[in-house]
Amino acid sequence: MDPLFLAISLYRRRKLEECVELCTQLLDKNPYDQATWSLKTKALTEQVYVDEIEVDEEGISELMMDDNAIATVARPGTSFQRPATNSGGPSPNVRPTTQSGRPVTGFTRPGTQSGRPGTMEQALKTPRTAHTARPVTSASGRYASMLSTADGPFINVSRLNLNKYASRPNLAKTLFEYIFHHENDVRTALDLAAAATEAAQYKDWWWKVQIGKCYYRLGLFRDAEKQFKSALKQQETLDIYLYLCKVYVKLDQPLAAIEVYKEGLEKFAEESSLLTGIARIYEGLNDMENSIKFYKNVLKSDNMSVEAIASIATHYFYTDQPEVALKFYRRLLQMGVSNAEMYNNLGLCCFFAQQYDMVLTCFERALSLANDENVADVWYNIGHVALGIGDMSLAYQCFRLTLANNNDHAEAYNNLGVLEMKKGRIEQARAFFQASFNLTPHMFEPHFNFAILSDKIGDLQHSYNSVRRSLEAFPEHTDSKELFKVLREQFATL
Amino acid sequence: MSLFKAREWWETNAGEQETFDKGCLCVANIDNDQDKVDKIIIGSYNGILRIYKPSIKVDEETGKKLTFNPDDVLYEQKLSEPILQVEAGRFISSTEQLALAILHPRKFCVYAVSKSSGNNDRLCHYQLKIAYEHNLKRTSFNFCYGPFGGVKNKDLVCIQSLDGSISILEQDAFSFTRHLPGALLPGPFSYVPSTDSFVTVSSNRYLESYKYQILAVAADSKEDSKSGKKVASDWSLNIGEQAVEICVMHTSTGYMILVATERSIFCVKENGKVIWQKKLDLVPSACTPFFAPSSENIRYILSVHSSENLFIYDKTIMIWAAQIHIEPVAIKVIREGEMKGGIVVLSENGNIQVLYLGTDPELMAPPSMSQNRDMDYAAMDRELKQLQSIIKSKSSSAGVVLPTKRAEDELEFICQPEPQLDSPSIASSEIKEDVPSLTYKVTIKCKAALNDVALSIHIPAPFATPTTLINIPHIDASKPYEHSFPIFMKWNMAPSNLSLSTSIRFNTSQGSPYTATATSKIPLRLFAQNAIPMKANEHKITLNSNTDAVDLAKLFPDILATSQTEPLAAIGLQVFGFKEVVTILASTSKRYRVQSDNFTLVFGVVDELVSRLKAYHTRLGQYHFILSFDSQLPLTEYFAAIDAHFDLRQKENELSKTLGEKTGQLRAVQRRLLTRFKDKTPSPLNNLDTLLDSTYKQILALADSIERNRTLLLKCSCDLEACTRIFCLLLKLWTQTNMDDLEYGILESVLWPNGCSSLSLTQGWHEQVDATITFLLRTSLAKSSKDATLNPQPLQILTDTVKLKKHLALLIDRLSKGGKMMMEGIKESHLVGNNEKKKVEIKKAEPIAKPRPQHRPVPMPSNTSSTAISEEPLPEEEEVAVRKFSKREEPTPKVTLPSLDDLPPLRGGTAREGKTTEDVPDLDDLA
Repeated sequence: MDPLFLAISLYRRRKLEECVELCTQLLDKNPYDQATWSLKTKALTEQVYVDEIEVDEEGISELMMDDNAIATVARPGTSFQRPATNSGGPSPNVRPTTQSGRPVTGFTRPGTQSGRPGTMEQALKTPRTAHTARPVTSASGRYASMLSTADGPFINVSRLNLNKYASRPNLAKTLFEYIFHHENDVRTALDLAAAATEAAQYKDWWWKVQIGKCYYRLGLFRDAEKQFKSALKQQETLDIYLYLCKVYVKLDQPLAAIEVYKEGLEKFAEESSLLTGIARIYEGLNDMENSIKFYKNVLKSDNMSVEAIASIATHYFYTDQPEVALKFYRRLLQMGVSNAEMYNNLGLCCFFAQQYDMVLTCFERALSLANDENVADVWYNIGHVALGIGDMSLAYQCFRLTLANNNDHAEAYNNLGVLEMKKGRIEQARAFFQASFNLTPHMFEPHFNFAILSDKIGDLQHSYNSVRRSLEAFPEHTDSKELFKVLREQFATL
Repeated sequence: MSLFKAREWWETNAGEQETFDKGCLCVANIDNDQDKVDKIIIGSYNGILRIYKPSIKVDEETGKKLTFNPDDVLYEQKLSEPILQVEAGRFISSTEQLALAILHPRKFCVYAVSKSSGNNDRLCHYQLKIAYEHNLKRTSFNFCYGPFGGVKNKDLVCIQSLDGSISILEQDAFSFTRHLPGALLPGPFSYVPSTDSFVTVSSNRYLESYKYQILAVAADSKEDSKSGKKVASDWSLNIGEQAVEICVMHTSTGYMILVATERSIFCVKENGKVIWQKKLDLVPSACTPFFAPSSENIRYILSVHSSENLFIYDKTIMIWAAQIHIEPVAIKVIREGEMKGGIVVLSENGNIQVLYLGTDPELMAPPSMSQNRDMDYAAMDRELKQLQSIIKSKSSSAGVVLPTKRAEDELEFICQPEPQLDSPSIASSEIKEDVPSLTYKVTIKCKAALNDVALSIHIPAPFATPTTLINIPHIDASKPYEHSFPIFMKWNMAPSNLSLSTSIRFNTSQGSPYTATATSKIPLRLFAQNAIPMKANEHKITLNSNTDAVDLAKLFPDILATSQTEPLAAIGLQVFGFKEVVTILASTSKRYRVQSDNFTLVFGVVDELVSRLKAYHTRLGQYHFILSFDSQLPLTEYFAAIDAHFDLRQKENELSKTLGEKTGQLRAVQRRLLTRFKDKTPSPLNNLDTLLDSTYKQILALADSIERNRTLLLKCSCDLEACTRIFCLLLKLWTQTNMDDLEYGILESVLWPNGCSSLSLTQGWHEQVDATITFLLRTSLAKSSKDATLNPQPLQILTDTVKLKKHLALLIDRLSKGGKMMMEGIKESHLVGNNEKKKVEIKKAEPIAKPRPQHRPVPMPSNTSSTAISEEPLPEEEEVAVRKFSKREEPTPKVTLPSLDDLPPLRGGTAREGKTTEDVPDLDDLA
């Protein structure tokens, strides 16, 4: 059988490594075989390919040096920076929030962990779900190829004659993807794309999209937008809409992004990737009602979408309908999602839906499936259940176990503080609250609890400061407001 | 990820160790049987052709449905060449019946399949009769067939070769070959009957359509490039992706071209207009049209790589997903027969299944927790109580792990020197210097096997050994572990500490860390050698004893080269690397005198002399032997050492400060330069670059001088340590103080010889010693109770040593007047003197908090991970628990404000500056 045919067949069957090996052998015999060269390039790219639309992890420098947002103080509901200003969202009293004040998502995606911090200090602090003190940097957030070959790189990118390749469209596209995805060398990729689009007399929208991708990576969002728009004029393709929206999200123009998504939906009706995009944006804007509406639409066209099901389930859970949430989670379980998070969520839903017989079994399973990263959260939730049934000593032990597994777990510190306060051990409680709000200044609970504690022992100054911080984190918190009022009155009478 | 499972109707495995791919599967009524039942035809890359007739049979004995029956195999034959593609069509001109076309790499064959009739089904057999065959010039890739050019009732064949040219075969006649423009790698290839054209996806990612007529009249570019038309595409569409499969579907609105690419699915009209596009999360592996009865919708079945599922879409909407247990490379649908509508899937290793879409959910059975259902609740209660009492007792003792004595009989850890110096010296090979070396032997005996033991050797400064850390992977219980290491004098410094300690560290089988240390003394002959005694030395130290002076020859037999019999009254010792000689004189008047020109060298000798004298007298049984010192303390020398050390420290401080300023300047210059460069309107650099360069050079020079100073400081601190030790020793032997071992321990911790090498800029030896002496002077050595105040001064960097010297003199003065440093509450165990014996000491160390592995999981984008992780909701309802406290009516309890200093520091930096309640609230904040 012809080895090239076999290589193509291996590529078709996604046996990429074997395909590369075979191509290497063929190229050793005939180094100028373009077809084999092209196939090997393709196979190497496919090994590391991640859809550029989904890669969204923002490095710390991108977050902090981001001067692309148009308005520094945006109007309510028009910016990701100020999600709390949207009145329709759930209260942080009910649904926990991330650093930036956005409620936690039901599905971990790139970018859901960091949010947009306001200050450098905040950016350096670890988000709740991350387990490292190191924020994501542009280097760690990207997927560059780490696969090394024994005899140096396959293509020495710096020595390519880009203009020669640019004029050969059947080679250039594959080569571009190789440079962009496998070598992660955006500058060279951009050079190639620019030369190629010129060679194609600016008639090939594909090259414009690639230039846009490069610009996006280089942080030139306005230029990227121009390229995508120009490409869209030539041919309406789904990917271009998605890339364009990504640019708008980066520019902090969620409404413009939604507009583009909706344009895309007119052309590609019921396309789940567009619907998911809209749902994510509404979620980021704290507009849960619309977000869930679109997630439900996603399910209409793709009823296997794990992200949509998980998000809807989370929404129902936090809107006091644990029974409904339970149904969604059960569906996920039936579909084969079986991990610690799943059982943990099922256990919580069962508990709040008063199906107590299932609670312990679920948590047992969650513990047996948990790994280092999520075992702390499972223990924390068991502690919660223990609080719910009034078993304070079990709760105490659970929270201690949480801390033993993850000593940055601010919620556990807070709850331990509350338990210590109940036992009357003021100093311990105080220390726990302090630990908690030092870890996560964006949570209002430790601030408020600290204020209550300080107020109780007569330390009004601390109480006043704390309650102010609590109100900063959650301006609508009634108890905080009340305490604040009382304290102000007391100070006024002095 | 799907709820349902595709049910297996019929299943078999075609061949072992054979490879199958797209094109190897064909479903047709190939033998033109009257019952119109579709057969499954499979050809493998290994050249074996198989024909199956799937049927449902019921086992007569058990009544079960059989998924496979040996009778289902109709035909099996090994052909000479690999089979790339099998298709059924009307390929034989004489008849309209279906014939089997088989594509080999260099050959194209058409066979007629016929059934020889027998009396019943069991006896009939099938045979293949070759109709015609073509030998191909080029290596073929795939082919398509159809009524090209509008011929009636027969199919022509178009073969695509690996280099991208296409050849048309008009049944048994070869028609023509055309090279497609821009072809590099061949792609999927299909024929659209309504427009009489071929569609393919070229290497530049265009979907291209070529009309048969145009191809037929065009000139082949290779053979005759000058005349005739070029091969030109009818239309082309830029889809920007590589195709996996092209299906042509006939619907009520005409023909549709369905292109499955690596990232999405396009539906294109026959004129090249995109109707819709669907983005896929995973790369599709196979795709086939799927017509449900009485439906004109565009329905298709899709399978993807790395997810064992079949997806059925209606346009862009997923209408069904079913789990399967193989990864298909080809999918077909049975059109006729009792299995009508069955989905045939073929995996790359030859597993063929006929499936239907059942509604039984595929329930994921979680692994059972393997627990005995009959639980003994009473026993569990008891266990729980027991555990809780343990927890209680542990939490009351604040988590201190108490050492257990058991470990002592598990381990024996000894470190001792060899009796003789090494010959030849190892030092000469290691550092090229002629100093003696001595080998020490460490022996570890244990009763249980140990793993991963780390042995570390701590050697005071002038001495060294090649490796200080040894990892022992395993120590057997039966065989003691032995390790030998040489030590020798490496640097030209006065020996300041003669105790060598080795320690081992390991985790026990219970997982708790253990350490054990063994100490040994460095012998005199390792750093000194015999020399001619010298007189008239600058520094003299005289020691009195209450017995007659001992013969020095008996005292230092190891130093003297030859065995001397006559008594020796004077002995000279020369420390390696120094010119000065230390002379010991033993006069008849019960006195010993140690004298030298270099005060720092005296320490090692005096220390050795004292311990040897003691040992000597103990050996003779003279326990009343007392050694004392009654002359002037060598304060001048000591102060000189202190000053020298202090000067160097100050110099280092100054240098560091200058370095700080310079680096600050560097950053400022850099910032300015950066703003200049970033500025959109370029401005002159104003020699900033020169400034940057010179600052950089200055910093380098400064760093170099700090390095040099550091080396000097190290040597000086060694001297200081030696001086401090001799000073302590003399104070102990001083007649006026008459110190016991306990007091000596306190003195050592006050004068802190071990801390001399501390490199701290703010809290060095001087500051700490000054602070402790001040403390002693104010407490136990205070003149009157009035002086005894306990408020310590804050620790400050000393500006000069005057105060320290004054305090030292005062300390000596107080001690000479009979002052005792001993205070109530100091337990003996806290004061550990120099243990000169070799001794095994085992401590159970407190468990060390293990640093958690710190790495941030980069979440996979949802399109690559099939099992996506959902973030769990973590409800926070601590509010409920707290609200009780928020009631204002509660009387404020009389709790005194705890001082924040007493708070257990939970995490670094959590304890905030404690503000007292007297603080008036900031009224501006209220406004």
